[in-house]
Amino acid sequence: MNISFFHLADIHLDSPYHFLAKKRGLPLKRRDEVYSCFLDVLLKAKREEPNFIFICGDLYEHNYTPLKRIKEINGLFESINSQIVLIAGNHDPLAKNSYYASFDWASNVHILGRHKSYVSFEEEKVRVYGIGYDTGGGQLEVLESFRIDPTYYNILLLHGDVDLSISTYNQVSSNKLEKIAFDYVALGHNHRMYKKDNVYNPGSLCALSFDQEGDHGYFKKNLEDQKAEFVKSDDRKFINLTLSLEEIKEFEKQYPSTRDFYRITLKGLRDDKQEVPEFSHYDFVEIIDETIEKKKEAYKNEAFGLKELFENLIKNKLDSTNSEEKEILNRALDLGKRALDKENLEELWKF
Amino acid sequence: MEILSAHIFGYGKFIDKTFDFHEGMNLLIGPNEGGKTTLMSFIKAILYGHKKNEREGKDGSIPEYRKYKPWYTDQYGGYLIVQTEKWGLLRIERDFENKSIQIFDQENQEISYKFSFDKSLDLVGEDLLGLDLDTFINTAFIGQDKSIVNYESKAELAQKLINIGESGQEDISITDAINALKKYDTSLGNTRTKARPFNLKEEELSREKQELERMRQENLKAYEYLEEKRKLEKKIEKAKTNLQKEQSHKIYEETSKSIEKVHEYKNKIDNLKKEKILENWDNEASFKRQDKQDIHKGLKIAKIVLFLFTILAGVFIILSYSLPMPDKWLFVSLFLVSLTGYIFVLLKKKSLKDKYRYKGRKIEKKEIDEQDNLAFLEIVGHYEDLIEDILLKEDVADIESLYEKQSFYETDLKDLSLKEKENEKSLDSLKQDLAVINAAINRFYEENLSIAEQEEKVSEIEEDINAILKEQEAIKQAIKGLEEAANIIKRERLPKINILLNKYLSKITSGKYKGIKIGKDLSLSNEYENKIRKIDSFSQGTLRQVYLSFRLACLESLDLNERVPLFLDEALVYFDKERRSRAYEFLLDLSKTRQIFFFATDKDDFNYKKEATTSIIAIE
Repeated sequence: MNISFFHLADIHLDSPYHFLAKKRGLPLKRRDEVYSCFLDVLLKAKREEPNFIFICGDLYEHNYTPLKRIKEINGLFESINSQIVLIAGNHDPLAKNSYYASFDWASNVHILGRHKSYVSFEEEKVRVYGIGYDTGGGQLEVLESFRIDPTYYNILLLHGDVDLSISTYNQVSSNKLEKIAFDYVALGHNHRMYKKDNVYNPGSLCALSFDQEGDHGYFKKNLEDQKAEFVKSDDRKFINLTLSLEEIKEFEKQYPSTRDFYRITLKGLRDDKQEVPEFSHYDFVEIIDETIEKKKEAYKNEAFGLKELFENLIKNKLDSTNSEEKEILNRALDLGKRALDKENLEELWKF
Repeated sequence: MEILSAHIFGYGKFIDKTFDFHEGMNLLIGPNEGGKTTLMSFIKAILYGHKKNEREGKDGSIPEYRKYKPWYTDQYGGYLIVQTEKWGLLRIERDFENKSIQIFDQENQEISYKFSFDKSLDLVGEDLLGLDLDTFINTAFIGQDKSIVNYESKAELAQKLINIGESGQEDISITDAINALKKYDTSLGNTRTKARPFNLKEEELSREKQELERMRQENLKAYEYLEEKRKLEKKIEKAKTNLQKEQSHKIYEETSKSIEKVHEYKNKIDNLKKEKILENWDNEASFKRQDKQDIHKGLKIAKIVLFLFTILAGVFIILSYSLPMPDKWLFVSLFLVSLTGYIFVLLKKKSLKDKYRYKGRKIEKKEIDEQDNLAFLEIVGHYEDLIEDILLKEDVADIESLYEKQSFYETDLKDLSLKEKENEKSLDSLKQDLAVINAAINRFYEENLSIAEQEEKVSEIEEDINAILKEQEAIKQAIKGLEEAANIIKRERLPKINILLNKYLSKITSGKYKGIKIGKDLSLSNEYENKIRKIDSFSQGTLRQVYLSFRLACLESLDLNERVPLFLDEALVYFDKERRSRAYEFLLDLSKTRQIFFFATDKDDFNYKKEATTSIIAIE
């Protein structure tokens, strides 16, 4: 019998995206994108009919996901000819008041946790163990009690990390796992993809912030195959760049995709006549200006007119302040000049 | 810096035209509309370019870039040859159409890259003269200012003087600027105002925060409802089980009762039977009837056997008589045997006869009893019918099945606590509760609760409020900067300007006005006649002189690397003859140290005094 599965994690449905809020409407758009990315996977599952889909935690956001969404997802799960095995994550913990505990999931959805640590599929001879997150702590202790039956193909779903000492929870060593001799260890929790021997962490299905560069997607495996195949999500990328003012001129040429998210840290020297470019036709370009202004003489107090003198005073202050005050001082400069030019200031304020 | 020549490829009315200038006084004479203003604009535009994004003025004035675009040539530009302290001889060439600039040194090497760059290309003038366009226009460029030509209002002029005193620039009023900023600050609103952007945003924030809280509570409710549903379903399940147990127990009890009844009836039947030995009698009777017949048969056989024995005995006795010895003994023996058999059968027959008589009596007696027994059987039948009814009622085939049924429905009611028993009554009400909860949950299935979106909305409003606060902080900083700048001007520049002003004014008015001072309160006072007079108490002519002196004093007070040429466009046209002549002479004096471009119409009715350094250039 040809047996296959999909392994995904950390979808974080309905997560807020405050850091994208600078561009109005973008967080909402991003949320929809992540959802449709998840739907794509389900659609593929519908077509390819893997025997199992494993979701290793953080499917949704406990504090944000409405019941309506859960109902939608459950409906989709029900329509798929695969057995879906879920564990909870730290964003959707298996608490008393969680959808995992209280929602009427479809019959092909199996939720593993403290209440039920494994599920066996006799026809396929597959046994799936699960250690999720349930706010109680000490979930890993159950690992000691697992006795593997070698006549089954044994899979562990774990919301945590393997061999990652900086991880603060559900951290387990590969030695320990080797002793238990699982055939496949399916991780969730860490948003970056990694794999080692039979331990696979797909990372988050979609990148969710700028610290999640690299590929995102899910693993697909046929039990007969030696290794799992990584299937990339068709999604925007988060790209961090450190550029000088010279290099940023080439930005559009080098990064023509306007739908990716960019965070550019500007470094190097800059004289005050050099302007920081704007890329308004890109969906999201955040520029962190860390350039150091070229050393120059202080602006003369002995300027020739009030306007210039005022400018010099503010500019001298600008040279010795941090970035937030800089923004205010630049605005002060602009406002002062406009006031001196007798512009109608009250027309300036528009949301 | 001195401008040595200007070559125009195309600018306004000029096409391919060269003007040569000299150091000192350059008198540029031409009729009205002769091109004086065009030439001034050209020089200014070569140095500073055209103002960017300049729009049509409210008075219908056309932006310079459009105004001077030549009609009859594609070339829009030209160059200046200038002598500078720092760079030596330079050729500054501009193409206004393509907005490009090229600067060549005296070896004709392009050195534009040595100058500051900016999109509007206006930094060349600043690099050369050390003055930005604004300051240049406000000091070195005393043009055919509309306000001077068209406005005779003393107040206007006085305001300009005050402005210069205040800001060093005639068209800039620090008081107005600060007031405008303060007004702008108030217009944004604060905690004490109403219906301003700040207040509106605060209200919006409070509204959206409430909505966010409502959504969070709603979501919690959804969880609660789901949990409640789960609990109710469990309760209903348990109630159902309990009910089943109860029902099963009831059946058990009924079956037990039925069994009891069956037992009772059976006992009754048994007792009756025992009493009447009905069943036994029945068997005996049949047996006895059979016996009687058998006896009867036996008697018949006995008769035949007796007869046979009699014949045999007769034959044997006759034979014993007739036959000799030893056969005689054999037949005597056979006779004896037959006789014995005869006696045995005879006895047997007798006993059978007795038995037959006895049985016959008995049968007779029972046959009498049978009449009673028919009634007895009816009673037994009745009990048997009752048992049959019970089995029918219990829906079982026989008594064995009834026992099976009883054991099947035997229920352990120990785990049914009293409380639960009490609750059982509420199975229906539990079901009703579940229906209500399901309806509530159904509502959540439809409700679009995007808490994340709402949270972002709140953040956006907070950002907006923060932006207002930042804007107000910027306003504060702008006011602070302006006040500081004004203070510096008052402290450092005004004394210098005052000295120069008095020096120039004294020269222009032949010592009539001395000790004119711009006070720290920006009043203009005059020590002449030992009185302090406010600025608007001066005559218009005097104010013009003061204004000119003031402008010159401002330029002169600047500590610049290059001597900036001074441009005067019919600046003396409203002076009376005497004052004009004196002012001109003063300018002539000034031209010894600074290149002056003095634009005038030939209608000017005073004789321009010429010196060696004066060149007259006709413009037309």
